[in-house]
Amino acid sequence: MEIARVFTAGSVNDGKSTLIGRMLLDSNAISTDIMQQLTALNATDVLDLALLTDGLRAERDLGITIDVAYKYFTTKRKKFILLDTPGHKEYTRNMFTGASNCQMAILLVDVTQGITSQTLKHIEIVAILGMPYVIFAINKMDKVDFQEAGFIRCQQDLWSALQSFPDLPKVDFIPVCALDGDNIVHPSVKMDWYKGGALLEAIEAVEIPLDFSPENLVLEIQGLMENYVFANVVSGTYDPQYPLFHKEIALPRLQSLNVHGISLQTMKQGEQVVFSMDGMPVFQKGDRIYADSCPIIARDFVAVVCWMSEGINESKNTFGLISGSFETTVHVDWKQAQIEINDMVEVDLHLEKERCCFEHTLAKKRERFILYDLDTFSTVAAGMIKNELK
Amino acid sequence: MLLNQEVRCLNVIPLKMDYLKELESEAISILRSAAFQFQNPYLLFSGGKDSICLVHLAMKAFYPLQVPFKLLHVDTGHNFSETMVFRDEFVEKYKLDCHVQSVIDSIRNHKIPDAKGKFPSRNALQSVALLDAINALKIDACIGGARRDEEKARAKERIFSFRNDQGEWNPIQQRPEPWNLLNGKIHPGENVRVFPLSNWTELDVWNYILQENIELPSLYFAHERLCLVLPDGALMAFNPYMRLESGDELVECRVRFRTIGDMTCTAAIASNATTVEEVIKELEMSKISERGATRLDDRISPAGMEDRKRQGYF
Repeated sequence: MEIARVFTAGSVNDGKSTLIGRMLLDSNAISTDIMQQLTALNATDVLDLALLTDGLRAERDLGITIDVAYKYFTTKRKKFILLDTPGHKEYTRNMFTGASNCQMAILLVDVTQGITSQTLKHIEIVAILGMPYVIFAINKMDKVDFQEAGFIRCQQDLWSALQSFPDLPKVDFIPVCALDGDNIVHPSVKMDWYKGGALLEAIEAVEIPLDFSPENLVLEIQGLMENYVFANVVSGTYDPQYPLFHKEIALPRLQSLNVHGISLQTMKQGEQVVFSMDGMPVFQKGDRIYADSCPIIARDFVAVVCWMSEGINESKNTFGLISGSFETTVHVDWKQAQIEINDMVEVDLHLEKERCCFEHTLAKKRERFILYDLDTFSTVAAGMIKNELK
Repeated sequence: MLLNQEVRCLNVIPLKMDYLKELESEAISILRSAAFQFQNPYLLFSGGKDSICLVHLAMKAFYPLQVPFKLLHVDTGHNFSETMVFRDEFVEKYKLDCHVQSVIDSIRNHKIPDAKGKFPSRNALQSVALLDAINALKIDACIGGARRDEEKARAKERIFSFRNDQGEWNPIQQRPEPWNLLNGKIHPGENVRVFPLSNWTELDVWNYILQENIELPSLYFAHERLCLVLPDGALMAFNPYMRLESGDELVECRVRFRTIGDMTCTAAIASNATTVEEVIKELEMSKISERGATRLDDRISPAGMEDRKRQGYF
């Protein structure tokens, strides 16, 4: 069994929280005491499934989702982590955050409304993040008498909208009615014209590949204690045939410690390792050790940034940058006068410290960072390095 | 169908880590981030299964070295004696350094009224003692075993959860954590709560306990105990702090605890599960949530947890 991280997004009142609630309800992930709380909170007879995920007082008072809610359920095939993200435009940054931590997206479209400006924003975010798999759940099919025509229209409009984005993910379209559970966990009997599977079946079936090629091995140093190096595997897998480098200098042999079953020989992407070596060079937190023969070691990069704080003008351009265990200060060339909250823009970064990247990590959009304000220390932006600035 | 594609596998080779390994790896990465980002991190230890798992994960995270965190136990004075014995043996066995912060001291020092009522719970008062410890020991990060699946306000919380210089949580101004990039930058006096088990469920914790053969206090397994049966069926272990009223009847029951909090606010559940395997089987069949089954302190209002967290709670 593996973990699948899925996020849902939609425009206001698309029924997104209801869809998550329905998925949890129909896969028996809601306990009776929580059901009783829902019934008690709700004045009407209809079960308000949104109350399951809107966990903050402000959200319940306003009737909207403000921040990401995490929900967990397990089927025979996968353990799911569902992230319910806000639909309101002003909380797009929270949606970006939720989406960044997932491998697949469920984007809701109200069949009676069609594509909205928020739908386009969601598609843009999914494209920027390089999300491998996106499902468009065409919701509220009950409002169009479960007829195929409305679904087809939505599907065609979405397909056209997708054409303007490069790096198209794998896409599916599923007609659903979240309120009644049609095509959520169980296939709907009201739409026999639809031959595909229900939503849960779709997200259960997908496998997201990881990078397991030994020539792409990259370790990032989390920190050092005494003579030990603590690191995580950013990509690849280890094969002693490929020598390892640090700042373009070949390293002496690593002395592997077989820690909880992870030795250097068996380590894989995403794992945590510890090792030591004779004649250890001066390592620093955030440094990378790699097998790749062509690292890109530079200070100047082109990046895409999602601004997550109050609007600023271009004169505010110095920030702290955190990327994994790597930290530095950075000057940002905004290339525009004004930057507003939720803007996604291409910028130039000038790092104070050199960063070591690789063609394959850049291509997979894995050189990710956050920017924080040097006075307040708040996280103000998220971004991905695209390429070296030449 | 015009455009609908068949759902297919992008890659037929299953290369993913097993899910417990993935959760473990995520937790270890968070623990290492805490160790390398903060000056004086403490691990909040209650003697419950989640914080025991946290210590186990910390031992793995920093092997072959010692756990680089001191433990902090906020002691309400209402703990089960089994928990206290377990804590002392555990600390001794693994050579850990455990600071005990007494809620009773905080009650005295701040001249705040002690808990009253039939079940006098010092649960909310723990926040005061925790903040006292944070100030006195100059703690900049508290690593806790809270999980997002426990409660709907917790479900909204970050992995590195920022607290201002009053120890307060502001749930609608949280630092975004895209790609789980953790920002632990703070000013003196502020602190961060670190939650490595954020994405674990109760069942994940138990499956991990089974896989890793982790020792737990005996309270987690079925035993005979004198209990007061509440009108809603909840079983409160008889303890010296509860005030019995006429008509209250104590019954010998076979029970275990799903969570271990104060004796005064943690209910037992009827159970015959004596092993980790049996507990897992029982949980898989259970229709009641972990806190719903056991915590009187959550039954105050829908925002009970959010309000306590805003004031500095774990």
